[in-house]
Amino acid sequence: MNLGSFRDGHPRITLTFPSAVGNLLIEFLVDTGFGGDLAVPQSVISRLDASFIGPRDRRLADGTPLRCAMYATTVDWNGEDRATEVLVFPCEPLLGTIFLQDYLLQVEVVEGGSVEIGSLS
Amino acid sequence: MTAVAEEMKLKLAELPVADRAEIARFLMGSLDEPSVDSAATFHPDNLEELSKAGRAIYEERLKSQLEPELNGKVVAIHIETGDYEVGANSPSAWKSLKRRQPVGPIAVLDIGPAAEDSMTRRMLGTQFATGKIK
Repeated sequence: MNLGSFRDGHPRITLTFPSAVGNLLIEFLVDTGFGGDLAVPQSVISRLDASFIGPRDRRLADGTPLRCAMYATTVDWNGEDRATEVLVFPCEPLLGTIFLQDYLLQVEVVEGGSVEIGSLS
Repeated sequence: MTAVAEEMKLKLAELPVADRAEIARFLMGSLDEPSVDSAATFHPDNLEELSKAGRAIYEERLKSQLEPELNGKVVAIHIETGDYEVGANSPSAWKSLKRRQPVGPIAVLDIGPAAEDSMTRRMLGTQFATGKIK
């Protein structure tokens, strides 16, 4: 699947979130150092059809505790619904390694290059 | 009835200015006073209480069972019942637990000593790299 492009120094892909009022398309920065599914700021989670799961406590590199609200939502993934975890964090939308698990990520590291996620087999 | 899809595309440039201010406040707070009380929270109103309840269940009932054998994994705890599920990562843990406990909040904690968290390090680093935080 060609889901995005390399721009401003980072690979980016756009995901589609189905909802009762229509599809919401959100662009995510692919962050291979983010050990999670998705992270979005509060302004975005409030627009998703997402259900609250509970707290997720993490810790910053300097030891500072960080508590995020954790939600479940559904992403359109190659025509099928995919249940996904979303953490609320004041960052630009991030897509992490757990979301990419068991897939092949290919990035053309040049401005405007394609970003594709494919099957491993 | 045919649903008319309203497609909206969010890009970083379209995020409200308030989000960027929130990022800056978070960073300043985290660097100035790294204590539990100053932990940045972005949540429904009772998130802190839910977190404390989940932590209490872990400390009182689960820690001695799970550590150190399962250090590095995560545990999802159904706060109302204390039912729990261990997984390799957060989504796998709470999804498994949800099948038994479909209703009620679930807290997810890391098992074992707090390790450097690459997730949040990169989250913050991204803000600097993309020029959103100076």
